[in-house]
Amino acid sequence: MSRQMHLGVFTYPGGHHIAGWRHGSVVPSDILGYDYYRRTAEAAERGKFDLVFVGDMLAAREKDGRVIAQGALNNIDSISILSAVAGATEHVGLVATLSTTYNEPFAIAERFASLDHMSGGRAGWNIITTANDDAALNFSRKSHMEKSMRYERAREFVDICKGLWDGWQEGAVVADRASGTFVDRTKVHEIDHRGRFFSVKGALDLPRSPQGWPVMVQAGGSPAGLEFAATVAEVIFAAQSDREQAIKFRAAVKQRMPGHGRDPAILKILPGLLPILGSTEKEALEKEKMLNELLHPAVGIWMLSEQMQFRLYDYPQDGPLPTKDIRASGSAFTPRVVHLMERADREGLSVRECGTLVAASRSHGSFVGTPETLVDHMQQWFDEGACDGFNIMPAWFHDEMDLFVAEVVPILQRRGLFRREYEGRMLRHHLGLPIPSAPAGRLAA
Amino acid sequence: MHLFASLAAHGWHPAAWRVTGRPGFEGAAPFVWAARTAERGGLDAVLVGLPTASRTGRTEGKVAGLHLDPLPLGGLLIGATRRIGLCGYWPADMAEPFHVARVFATLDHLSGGRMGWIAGLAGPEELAGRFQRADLILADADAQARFVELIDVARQLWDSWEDRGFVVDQATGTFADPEHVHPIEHAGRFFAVRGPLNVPRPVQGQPVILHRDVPSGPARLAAAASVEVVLAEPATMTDAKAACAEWRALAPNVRYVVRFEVILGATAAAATKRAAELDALAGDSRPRFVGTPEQLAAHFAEWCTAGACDGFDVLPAALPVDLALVVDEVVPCLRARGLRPGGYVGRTLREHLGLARSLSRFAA
Repeated sequence: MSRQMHLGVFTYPGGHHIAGWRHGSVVPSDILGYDYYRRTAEAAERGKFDLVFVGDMLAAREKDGRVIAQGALNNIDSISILSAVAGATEHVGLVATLSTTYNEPFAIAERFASLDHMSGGRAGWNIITTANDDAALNFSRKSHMEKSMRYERAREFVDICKGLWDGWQEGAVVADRASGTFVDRTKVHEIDHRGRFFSVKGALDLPRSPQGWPVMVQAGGSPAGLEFAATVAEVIFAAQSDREQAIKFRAAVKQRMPGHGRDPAILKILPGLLPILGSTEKEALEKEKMLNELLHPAVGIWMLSEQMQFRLYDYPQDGPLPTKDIRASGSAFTPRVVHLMERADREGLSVRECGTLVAASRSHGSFVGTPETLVDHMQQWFDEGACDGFNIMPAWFHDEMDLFVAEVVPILQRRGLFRREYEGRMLRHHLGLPIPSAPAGRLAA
Repeated sequence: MHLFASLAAHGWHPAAWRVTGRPGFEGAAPFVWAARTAERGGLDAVLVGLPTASRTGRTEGKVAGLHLDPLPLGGLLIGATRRIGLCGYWPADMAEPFHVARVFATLDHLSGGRMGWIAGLAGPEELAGRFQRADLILADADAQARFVELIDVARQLWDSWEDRGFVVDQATGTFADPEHVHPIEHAGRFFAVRGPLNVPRPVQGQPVILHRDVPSGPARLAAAASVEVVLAEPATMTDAKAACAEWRALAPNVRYVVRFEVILGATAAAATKRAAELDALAGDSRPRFVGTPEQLAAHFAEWCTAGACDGFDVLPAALPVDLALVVDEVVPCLRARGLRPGGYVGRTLREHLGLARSLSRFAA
């Protein structure tokens, strides 16, 4: 069988277009309730998606101590959402985002092992170090941890989790009624870890979960993030809106993997993609225009300022993006910001236009067109080695997700790019990833 | 009277796993079955995550001490039920108040206002099974002080969004009203938290806070500031009356709930025989009731009439047997006595418990 695409759907309260929640079909009082997320997960499963993805933010969207009036909500807690929909679905993977900077490894290892057990092997962990400086102020810290240290902490964090997940050999739960032995403790191995950030000793109170480890997902695109991805990631949720850049990024990560003793073939890169679909090009463009008219300029300028770590509020909205001043600020820019500044210079974009660009897709890729032209676009990225699939970010829920499943998925299937049926029950099956073998007493030695 | 059931995969008797005929580990399946069964009986809430065995017991391998994280378990039960309250134990020893507030606010929204947080401390023995840095394990007085501050910060965070802060007016594009979403600027001995929470105000205002009973004295006084439901295990009805009265003096709206293991049988002799068979396999030191469903209903009625408590939390000795008997046999007796309603009246756990919706401290 030819190489197959992988698809995720990124849930969001309202929708991914920052003004998506204003669409008339969205019922605002529903966006935090169980049925809202269940509907998305069921649509994903109907569309044979690999996974449902939920992000994580640990501070409110705000400026100068006030929440953004015209903004939108962050994702609410990812594990809560995905565990709630686990019972309503049978196949689709459940990828939750949790920060290694603001959590402790024992609790997180237990949480993912539990989700994996409850879902029959469908858990994935999007490992983030948290990019938002404000989070520190909600966690009794004076400042956010510096980036290279965050990644060092993340590596140690993940190592501990793997040790804990590997602690129980197969067959440790014997439940022998006659002898009264419930657990064969010779098959349970405690870790004894002393490192720079953590000191953990013990074992989980749970047998090995169906997948052994949750699927390891990573999302950062910086050099430190890229190195971390090469070390641990099985899936990368990348913010890539330019095909050439995406090809380079994918090659760069894969090139680094053998150095860490890893097979580059297993890696699946899924850029975010916000599709705006119409039955004709004209209809799609009208839909995009309608959405962007709903977008308040203040939100775009706020998001742009946050991403660039540069206050743009006092610059004229219709004047050019002050890239010279921004570069002079000396901040460490992410690749997506560098890319946007280059584009602004090249195309002479205004502050407002850049804000709209960022806010409309939150700097992920977007595409406006018909289902056929969208599939052409996806296929080109896929065939040219820019990605292994996409994490779909519907502009609003549920219409846009339902439209993708009804109109786009069948074309992908017809072209032989995407599965017609699930072939396994676990997320690792869908993604073609190996199931880590349970090492017999790996850590006891 | 209020009625809860605490859930354990096999049951609360240490030998339960040897008599139920179920596989040793079935993931969340027993909990899903139990929550739906309890809902069928109109129980106010099920409690998940309370430890069934000590660390020593677990490491000896004789007891069924497997432990699913109650947070995803609570999430799963939201999808499996419609009306029953869901309470999860999240020990606060190492927890961060922002996480606690964010997760329970999320669960409360997802469930339409059915969540309760069983707050407590796991204690040094449990922590030693996870961490080896002595500095992480606080002295008892410090652990208590941190615990009290943590609950206070979590409650401030739930209040940080007034109801009118979450505007979501599609016509004007106003999502939130900054005048009614408040940084909390908490700076205490253990925590510095700016806020606001990034989840709007929970459906119940604040999820219900449950505590296990603590001895009379400073700990009880400290807990009284936040507690709404006390989970108590008094030795006698006299003890219960005294403790219940003291709690009510400290916190007038508190619900004092007595919990014990139940071993039921069609006749008193059958119940006694079941208890003897379980005890022959493993010792059990929990407070318990052994008898028929009618006797259990009469026992509940006696304690309630005497003013010894506001309700009960049953710990089924063998989950599939004793929970089914509580729902199918005991609940009808309680309904006949007028002690339990015929079904759910309210939507939220607070409504089930007759507790008012919590108002934000910032709402003038």
